[in-house]
Order: sequence, then structure tokens, then C-alpha cells
Amino acid sequence: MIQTDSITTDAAAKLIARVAVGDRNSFKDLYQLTSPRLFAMCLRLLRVRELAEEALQDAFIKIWNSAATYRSERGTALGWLSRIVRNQCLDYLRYRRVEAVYHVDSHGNGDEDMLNNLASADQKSPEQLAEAASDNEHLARCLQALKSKQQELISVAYTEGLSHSELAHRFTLPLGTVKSLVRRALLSLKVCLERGLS
Amino acid sequence: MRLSNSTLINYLAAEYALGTLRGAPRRWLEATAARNATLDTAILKWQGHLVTLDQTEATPAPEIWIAIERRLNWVPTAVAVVPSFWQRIGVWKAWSFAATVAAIALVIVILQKTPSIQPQEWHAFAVLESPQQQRIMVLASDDLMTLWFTTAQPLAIPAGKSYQLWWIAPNEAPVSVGLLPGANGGRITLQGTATEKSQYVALAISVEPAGGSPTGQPTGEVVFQGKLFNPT
Repeated sequence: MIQTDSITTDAAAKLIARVAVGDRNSFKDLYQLTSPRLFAMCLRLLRVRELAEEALQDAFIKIWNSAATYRSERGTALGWLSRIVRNQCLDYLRYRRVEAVYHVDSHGNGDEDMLNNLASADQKSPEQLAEAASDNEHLARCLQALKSKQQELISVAYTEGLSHSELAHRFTLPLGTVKSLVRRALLSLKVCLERGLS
Repeated sequence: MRLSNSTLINYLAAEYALGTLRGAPRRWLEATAARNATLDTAILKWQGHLVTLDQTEATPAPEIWIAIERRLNWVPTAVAVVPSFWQRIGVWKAWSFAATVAAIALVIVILQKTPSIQPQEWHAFAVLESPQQQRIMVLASDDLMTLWFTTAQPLAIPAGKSYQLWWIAPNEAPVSVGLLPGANGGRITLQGTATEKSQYVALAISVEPAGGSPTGQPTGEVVFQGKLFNPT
């Protein structure tokens, strides 16, 4: 069984296969299994609970409608689900629906606390944390091999959904430098990840 | 542009999965991936790797699952055809209860943050919902001189018709805001001061002849409605 992290891709992939033939109970099970991870992703990207809830709803409607297009041989179930959810959230960001909130966030307070509270409210057992850490070890090891600025750029770009120009603004770096750092980081990650898999 | 170089495919897939590929290139890559298995696989591999970066969990409120079931028409919704404009608005009140609760929370967030929001920035203003649960997100500029309407899917505006927006105030006749610029929404410049707008509590959209209502009042079906998040 391939395991990307605490959510077994086996379980999620089996549920998606049943959702593809219209099994509503499996859709509910899939939602219960994966929505805490996917909702946290939306919250981090959109920062406003109401918008994150909207995006999660939209994404799960798409998941119901497109389950038949999932091919397990192409990638993990969680990767496939995260693609749909992140695209939905990035669409919301694209329309600058939360631009004002982003602006004030740079002054601190409010939503960061909310995210921290949410994380602690859903705390895993030590066993689950150990399991998740082990599953995540591969990517973490490859990330650690990057230069610290590259690590930071990749992590912030992914978890906060920042574009190249937003990264440039956040890190006070020229746009060209950011593009080049991200590109080199991704190429290094690929080499490292492939070495680990072979 | 043909995609044959594996390094290029991998690089684009990585930027896509990371989220740094934006705009037209992102949409092009998405469309290409739908018919290019190599690219689709590369994207999914990257998504599978990157999703392990953030293992935070946050359980959504139970209402979210109920809302999803409702949008998939798995639970019955009360749809009624009634003749008057105000009665039609009334039918939607129950549906908008959850949105109202959410709106209050958002208002609190916005009010807490208002002092440092600069002019000409945008804040969430309302979500308009149709009986089919299609939604239009409405943003307002902070000076309340512009509304920005965005939709997830293009609206099915009938040929030869316009979608006209109306301000709704308690016990008052609807006041025209203007015509929705297009099927994907768009911007409308508003008239009047913020104080003049303070009486309004909701927005509604009716189907009108092209160019707008001939009477100055809604004459066609009300297709979207939603309370304002942050009453002016």
C-alpha cells in the first residue's frame, strides 16, 4: 500500500472509484475522511472561514461530478483531490476576493490565531503524528536539502497560495530572482524525489 | 505550443501544482492536461508530493456537508412560484439563514480589521444565490462606489434579456443598481453616498428586457437574491 501521509491513498482511491459510479454513501465517507485536510488547505489559502467553506463546497461538487476521471495509476487520490480543491481556492484568490483581508493580515493578529486554534482543536494522537511524520519524511528530506531561502519560498508558495510577484513582495526580492529560485528549487526537488523512489 | 520536452513538462507541472503558474498559462496547462496523459501524470505526482507539506486539519462545520447535499439536490428544497416580488424574496429567507450567520461572522472579521484597510480595496459584500443554488459573489470597494460581481460558472442570461440588479430596503420599493455587465459578472459603478446606501439590506437580480426594466421596477422573474454582509 502506498501511503502519502496519514490519509491512506488506498482508502481514498477506493472511495473515489465508488463515487464515480454514483455511490452517495461513499461520497459522504470520502468527505469525512478527507475534508479536514482539504478544509485546512482552503483556510490557509483564503484566510476567511466563510470563503473557505464556499470553496470547499464548490470543490466537492466538482469531485462528485468528475470522480470518473480519476486514474489511480497517474497519482495518489489525495493529490488528485488537492488539485481540485486548490484550483477552486486559487480561483477565489484570482478574483481578489480576499485582497483586503490579506492586506490587514500583514499587520498580524486575527486569522493566524484562528488557524492555530483550528490546528490544535483537531490534534492527532502521538501515534498518528508519528505515522504522518514518517510518511512525509521523503519530501521533508528533499526540502531540507534545498537552500533555506528556497525551502521557505516553496513552503510559503504552496501553503499560502502566493504567486511569483506576491512572493517577491513578501521576501523583498526582485521578481526575476524569485522565479529563478523557485525554478531551481523545483528542479532540485524532482531530482531528489526521483532518487528516493528508485 | 506542443509539449514534448520532458524537463519542460515537469517544470510546468511543478509550477502548476505549487500554484505559482497563474492566469492564461495556468488555464492553458489545465486544458492541455485534460488530453495529455504525460502532463496530467506529472501534475498529479507533484500534487501528491506537495500535499504532504501541510498536514494541518480543520473539521468543517456540519452545515457544510448539508449544503453540499442540498446543492446536489439530495435533500428537498422548498421551491414555490408566487406572484409578487416581495413574496418571492420571502421564500428565499429561510435559505439564506445559514448565509446570514456566516455573514455576521464575516462582518465581525471585517469590522475588526477595518481601520487598516486602505481605500479602493475590496471587501466581501454579499453572496447572491439562485433557487438552483448557483451563486454570485459580490465585492464592494471600500468607498462603496463600485460593486464587483464574480461567478464560478457563466450565467445563463436568456437571449434578448438583461439581468438587472436591485437594492432592497425594508418596506421600500426596489431601487435599480444597474444592469449586470455580462454572463461572467463584471463591475458596476454606483451613484450616491455611503450614507444614502445605508438603508439597503439586500441585493436582488431580476430578468428584464434588454436594456433594463421599462417601468423602473422589477417586471420579470427574480433569479438571484442575497443579504448584504456588511450593511452600509
